[in-house]
Amino acid sequence: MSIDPQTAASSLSDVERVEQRTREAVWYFGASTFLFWWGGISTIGNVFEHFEPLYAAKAWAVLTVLAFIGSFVIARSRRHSDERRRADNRILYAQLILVVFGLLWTQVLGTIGYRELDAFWPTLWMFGFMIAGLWVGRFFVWCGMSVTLLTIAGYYWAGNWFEIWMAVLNGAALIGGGFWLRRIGVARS
Amino acid sequence: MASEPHIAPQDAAASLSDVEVIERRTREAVRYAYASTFQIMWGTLVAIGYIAEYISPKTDLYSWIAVLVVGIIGGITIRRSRANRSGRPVDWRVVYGQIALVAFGFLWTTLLTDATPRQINALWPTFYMFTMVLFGIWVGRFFVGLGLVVTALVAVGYLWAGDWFLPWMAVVAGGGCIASGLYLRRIGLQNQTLP
Repeated sequence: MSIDPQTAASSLSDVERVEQRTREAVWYFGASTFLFWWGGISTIGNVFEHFEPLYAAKAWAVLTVLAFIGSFVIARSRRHSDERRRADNRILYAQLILVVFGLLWTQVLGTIGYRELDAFWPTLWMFGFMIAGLWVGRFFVWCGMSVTLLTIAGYYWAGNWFEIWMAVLNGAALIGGGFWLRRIGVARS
Repeated sequence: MASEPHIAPQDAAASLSDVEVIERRTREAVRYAYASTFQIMWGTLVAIGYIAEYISPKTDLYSWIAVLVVGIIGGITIRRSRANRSGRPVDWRVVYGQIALVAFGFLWTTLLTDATPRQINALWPTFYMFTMVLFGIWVGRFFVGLGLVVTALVAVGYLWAGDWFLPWMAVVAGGGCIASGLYLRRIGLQNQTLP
């Protein structure tokens, strides 16, 4: 049996595409647990802020620390291959970098009000999603774009219900996204 | 008959691990060489932008828009010509990432907040460096180091450079990108493409 160069190239291209999709699916499943965790934390934070705005800054600080501890525990509790550990560590580093830059922009370089802060953090996360999504899977790009646009809509038009809007939108998007990723992802055997 | 060489499982695992490390470093080196041209181009444009704003602050909006447009079109042109030479399709992901970055930057410097010109001049390069750090976590740690160092220097200039903030930014943001591009050219693997 002979194979001409075009057929061989096409077959290799198909194999490459399947490999890429498999990687995406495995990545999706692994990322879903982080999304559940951060989505839950974000919902609690926004609801708390709506009812107790005076304590919002302290609550968010505590929740952010909790979110990181949770992420660390999730990463550590999984079965470890070297590759898997590296992938989990990268997610942790990316989360840490997001928070460091967010604090720099909101506390050092920028002046920003409470309502803007509530819009800033989710759009920053979603920007990170979009950038990461370009390499790890387009779900994150679409999730990032949709939540960013809905956050802007809420910022302008949700009035006093903005925190609740964000709790439902941001929390539900992350948790719903986690379920969706678990459905379309593949658990690493 | 000569007996087959015996390899202990630990030695085999160590060898495979070495191969993996070498493969990863080779990928990084190819990416570094690929990125060097873009770093030099963006560094030059950014330095020109800051100097233009320092000389003529009233026309800064137009000069920065020109910098962005020339940078994005220049990036697309370089990518296209490389794709034509290598026969591989253009990888648009970095271009999409830059467009997302510009959209995010406009959202937070003009639409949702009233940032001062000094804040805008500090925020934009740190947005770019933030993306570079995120990018570096996946593709090569050089970008992580570069992003963090330039960001720290931008913050220092913002707080303490006084009236010399714009020339400071031309050197730090523009010069930093150019110097890093030249360094990447030195340590990277030229004329290679990733499979």
